[in-house]
Amino acid sequence: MNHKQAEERNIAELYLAHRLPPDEELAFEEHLLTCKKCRKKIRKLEYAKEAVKLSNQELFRDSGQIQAKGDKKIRNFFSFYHIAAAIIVIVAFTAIVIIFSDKKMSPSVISTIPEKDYKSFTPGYQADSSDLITDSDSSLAGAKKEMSDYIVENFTPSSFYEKLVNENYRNTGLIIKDPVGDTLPHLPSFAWENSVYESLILVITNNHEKKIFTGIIKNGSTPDVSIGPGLYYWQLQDQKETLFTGRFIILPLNGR
Amino acid sequence: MNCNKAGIKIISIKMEVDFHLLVKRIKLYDKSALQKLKDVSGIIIRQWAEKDKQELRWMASSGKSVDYMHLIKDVIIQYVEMQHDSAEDIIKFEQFKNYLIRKFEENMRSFFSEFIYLLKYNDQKAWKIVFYDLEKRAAGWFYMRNMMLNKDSYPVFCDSVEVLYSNFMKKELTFPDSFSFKSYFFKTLENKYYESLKDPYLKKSVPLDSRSFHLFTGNEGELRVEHYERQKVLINAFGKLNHEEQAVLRGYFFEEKKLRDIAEETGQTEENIRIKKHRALKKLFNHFKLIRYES
Repeated sequence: MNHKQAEERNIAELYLAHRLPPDEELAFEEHLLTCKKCRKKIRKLEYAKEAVKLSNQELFRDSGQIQAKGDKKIRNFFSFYHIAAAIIVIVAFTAIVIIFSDKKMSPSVISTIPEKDYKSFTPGYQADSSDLITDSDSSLAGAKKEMSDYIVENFTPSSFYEKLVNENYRNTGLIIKDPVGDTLPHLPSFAWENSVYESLILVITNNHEKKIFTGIIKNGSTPDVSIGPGLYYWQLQDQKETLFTGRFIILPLNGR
Repeated sequence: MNCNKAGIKIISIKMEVDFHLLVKRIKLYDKSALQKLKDVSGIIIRQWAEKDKQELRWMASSGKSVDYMHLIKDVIIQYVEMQHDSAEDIIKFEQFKNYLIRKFEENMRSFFSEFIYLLKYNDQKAWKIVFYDLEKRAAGWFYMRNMMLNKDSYPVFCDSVEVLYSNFMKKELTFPDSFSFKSYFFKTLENKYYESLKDPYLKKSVPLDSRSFHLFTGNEGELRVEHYERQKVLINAFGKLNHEEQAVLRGYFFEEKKLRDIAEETGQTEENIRIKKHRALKKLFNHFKLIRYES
């Protein structure tokens, strides 16, 4: 490799970004021994990289203040967006809870849950004779109360985890392939796209923020744990930090 | 095609001879030759450390913190002394590179355990190095979560350092390398951060120096001044770029995106982004003239 080749292909930048194949990397390093210009360029690029990294430390900004404000505006906009999304989700969950605990429980008003799920979910529900169910039926009233307690117990969202999920606090860029969506018939498999991680630590927490599973899981596999219907939060972690936080709801397809 | 291949072969043979001669010159106490190899070795080691997430400043020997360039110099001298005088065997650069990284890594481990001893003995300079490096890493950690290390998040960072410090001093914590040390810190930071989210009133807005934990903010020593001045120059230089230029450089260098991806995100052509990046770097380099960037 000579200086012209290195300049034309912008090898110095590729080298610093670890984007050169090993043989070219070695050839460029060998070239650096004899090329002062390339050595100087590498040093300048290293400083540029450091400057970019330091620019994230708002504390030390002087003349960068204006920029910081610009960044903040964008960030505020996004955080507004996140908060709005969080509110919508919380309202949606609350609505589900209210609907289920309503005296006039009817499958038609619960649009989010398919009727076949609802049948098995609702104690005492009979498709052909729903009009026969009245408040005067004490056993049914008891069942309804039990149901209401059950929903509150297992499906009330944790505001802390909702915040994490909706505001992406714990998402460090890991691309999740599975689970897709929140409402699931059974425990999902967990798959991610970043091939760097063959396996990760999975933590599943219930809606009361109690850990119910912690273990190492391979990409694309399902954890060996049995869990009942309810709202759950899950996190994928490496040894250093949490990479992703998500949630899922297991519907009680087969009754309680 | 054949001419090209022959050309490449001639260049690579010439380079091998160049390195061989360089080693010979170092053997003859040629200081400029040693400096050249030191510079290139420094680049190689910094690249390796970045890839392996190692902290180059967390090293100590004989009760003092050590500059990694000294260690590189020692490894080069060891290597040169090992070479025989026979002119028949060409000394290959690849062999040197492997030796350099292997030896550096070996020495680094033992120097890191000495550095840990310094921390245990409450050496201020060592703790300051740790503090500043963690500060830089924490800024990246917050950035990944769409936040800045600013007056709101800084107390969380300080709390985490305090926990790390007190646990490290009280408990028998062992860290084989800087990576595991940082892992421990980031777990603490993560927990502290979630605590502050759960109960914002728990978030302490008291700066470190107003507590008993005055270690890092005591005397404005040499390290602090040097650190601040250098940071100021770099940050000011970056601050002089316009918003778009900053965004391109941030995407390219910090988020490690390809130009094509930045172009797609911003709805511009790749060529356009390439030109913007080129101009931004040119501007930045002009501002860097204030500091010496030759190694």
